[in-house]
Amino acid sequence: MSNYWTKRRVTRRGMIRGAALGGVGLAGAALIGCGGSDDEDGDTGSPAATATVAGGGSGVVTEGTAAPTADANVNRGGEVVLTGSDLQRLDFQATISTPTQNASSLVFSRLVRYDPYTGANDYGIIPDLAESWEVEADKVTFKLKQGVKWQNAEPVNGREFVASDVAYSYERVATDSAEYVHGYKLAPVASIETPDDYTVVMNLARPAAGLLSDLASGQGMGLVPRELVEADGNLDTRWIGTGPFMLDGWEQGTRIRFVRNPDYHEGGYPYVDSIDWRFIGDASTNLANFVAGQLHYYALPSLEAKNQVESSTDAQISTFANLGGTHKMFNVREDGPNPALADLRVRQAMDYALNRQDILDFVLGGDGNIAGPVMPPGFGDWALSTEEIAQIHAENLDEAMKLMAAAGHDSLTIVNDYANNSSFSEDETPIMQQQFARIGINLELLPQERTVYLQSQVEGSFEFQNIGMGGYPDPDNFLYPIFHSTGTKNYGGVNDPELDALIEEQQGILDPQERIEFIHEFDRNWKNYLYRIYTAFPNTHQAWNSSVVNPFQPKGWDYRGLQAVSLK
Amino acid sequence: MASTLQADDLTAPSLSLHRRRSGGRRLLALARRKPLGAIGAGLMLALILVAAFAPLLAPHDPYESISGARLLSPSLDHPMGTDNLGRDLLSRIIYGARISLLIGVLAGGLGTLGGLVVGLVSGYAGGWADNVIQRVVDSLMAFPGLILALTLVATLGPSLRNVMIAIAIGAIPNTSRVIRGAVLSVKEEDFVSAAHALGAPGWRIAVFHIIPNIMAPVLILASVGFGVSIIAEASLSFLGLGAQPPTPSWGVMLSGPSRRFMTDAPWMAIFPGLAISMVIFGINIFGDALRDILDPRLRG
Repeated sequence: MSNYWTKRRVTRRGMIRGAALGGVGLAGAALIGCGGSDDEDGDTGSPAATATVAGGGSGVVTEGTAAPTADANVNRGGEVVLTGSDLQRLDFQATISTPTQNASSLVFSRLVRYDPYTGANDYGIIPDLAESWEVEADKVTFKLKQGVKWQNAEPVNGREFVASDVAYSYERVATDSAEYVHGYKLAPVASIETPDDYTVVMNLARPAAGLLSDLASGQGMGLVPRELVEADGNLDTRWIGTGPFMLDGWEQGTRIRFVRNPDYHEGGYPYVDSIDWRFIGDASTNLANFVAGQLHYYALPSLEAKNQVESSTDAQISTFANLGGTHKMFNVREDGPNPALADLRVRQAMDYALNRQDILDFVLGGDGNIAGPVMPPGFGDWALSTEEIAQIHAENLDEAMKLMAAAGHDSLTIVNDYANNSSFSEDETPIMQQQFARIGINLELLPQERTVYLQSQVEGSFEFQNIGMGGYPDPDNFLYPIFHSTGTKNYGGVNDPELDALIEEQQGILDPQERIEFIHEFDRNWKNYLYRIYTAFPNTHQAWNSSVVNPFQPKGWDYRGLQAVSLK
Repeated sequence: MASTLQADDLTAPSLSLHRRRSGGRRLLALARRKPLGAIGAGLMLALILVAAFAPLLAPHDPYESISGARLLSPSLDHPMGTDNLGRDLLSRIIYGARISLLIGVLAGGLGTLGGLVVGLVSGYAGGWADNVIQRVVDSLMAFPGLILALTLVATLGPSLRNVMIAIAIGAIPNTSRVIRGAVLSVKEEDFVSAAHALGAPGWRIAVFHIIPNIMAPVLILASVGFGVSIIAEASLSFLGLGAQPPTPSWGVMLSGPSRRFMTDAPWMAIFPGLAISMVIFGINIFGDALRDILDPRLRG
């Protein structure tokens, strides 16, 4: 491949700037991760949580803040009822299951967390178990809160949370085992030192612009007690954390329930006594339950659902661009089930054959944004403008036919499998089938039971698969784990040294503006790689019952905002 | 010669007319005697015609998403409205008749045929063979039909072909039990004993003497199987295990999207639901009439 992009001089300015600008960059990156989406709703009425990012110019940045304080006059008690899917397992460090991550965020604290009141696409970082932190080019030092207690249950028995718990938790995640899929977040960390009970020093192997954002994620980054894991062998039996809620019981297929942790370290929280998270997969049932006032929160699955809720309730609704969504993943292994997909020309032909506006209109009723590059539309400063995305990924059947001919295909059959509980896939695949048929591609649709679908993903036995993507806080989350040859979510078998180099380069760019420009250029050239195809991402409509005070926007697999929710 | 020709001309047509009137009159008489059966037969005939002439009757390609036609309510352009992907519902229901007919004929037919073979062998052979077969049938009958079909489809994988196989297998136990009963009754008749005495081989007696005499229950079971198969396909497709999107099966049309858009576009569920109800109603009343006509006890 020979173009401006691939000829571009690969620099590591972040490395060169090193100690002088590293900390500033990291802090700035955290800020940008929070950044400025035009699609966000305003503040929904924050409790006293205090967002922090302080700057500094002398090579060391210190960040810290007072813990959020509870409102003494708030109405306490009651139960919040939520809906969602069942957990795959309880051991959240050893599964990618979103319901598991969401639920675990109520029990397991992290060093830092996202501010739930800064807007859905704004990943502002606030303290959790760390009361302050110092970022340097080659290390990050956390000062821990003192007097934090584990929940009072065997075998931990309410002992104090200390620095060695952090080291143990991260070491458990950062193994080479394929089971621990979140370990990639700690890849830049060379070692962890605990000079005393309240200090954690992470020595970095390389600059890592997205490290703080990753540590704040509810996905696999919760801190766990060694005694529990050693007693049970894993976290699949019991949960004991330092979070605002304690696990009361998990009835598989029915519900998971939490009760208030009386020893929670952020005094006064949580306001409600319990949370009942019911597993109701059917969207119409959930909608009916929400309209009937039997649910306090529901992420509305469609524009039609939003319209119905708006017309029949006085719910509090917020709308924003979804950073996650379903997209298409190629299996590009040369010896894979469909070797034709290893040919970039075939993938490009498929991209040219798509009419993304039609997909947006038919599948989402126009309620969303067209997508194309890796960074999702609505991802603040990281994303290209919608106009530019539309221009780069415009439909061009002539070009598509030429590429198919150049690749030596008059016709081609591709099996497209997807989880049969995905309504987006159910709607989108027939449209794509029609669009691909115009260039001689016969898309065979294969809806699969979710377990079978996930199995084919892990085994790499699929050809062309629909896959969901979470709302990640940092650009690196959309790149390294998915497209790097050593990435833990590289299910498509991507092994592209050129792409590896680009991904590693962006990890080391600590200057925020420079990183933004790099990511933009990367996205403009995504057509020269196209290991995944992005078509359209929906808007998200979150609805809270009108009786809820302090509604927040869950993000980054983190429902900790529930600690500040109260009921009228 | 001319007069002979005239006579021949008069005679032949008059005989032919007499025969036609006789057939028509008999049908008319049957229809008067069993008006519901006639309605059922009419609905089945309509299903067959719609399925056969679907490309001529459907105003649109059932798979085509029409720009700007998402979730349109019923109108002159789209008498049954459009779905969430902008596809004409009338066209999809017309093409869906093909799948229902295919399922009814193939799955229902295979189930009846399988039941006939098993029931015939079991009932005619008797002894240990009958015992073994009936215990296997007992074990299969322990599963509700739909559960058995669900298990089979889950094992074989979701597809229309596998659904037909599963429905047919699911129908065999009940059908064979009824057939066996009929065979046990017929094989005690004198004409069967006479055939035995004349040295006719067992297969010949079974095929040429017993089967023609159990055709009444076989036909009734086939008509019931036809309807049950259509319902089973719709149920399995509704559960995501039958025909797969974007196939315009009525069951598929009732599942996923139509439930999601029940409030905004109720026509997405109403029309395929109506189509299923009408066909099943037609088959049931036709089957009832057939039973009444063929059952000597009810012929009166």
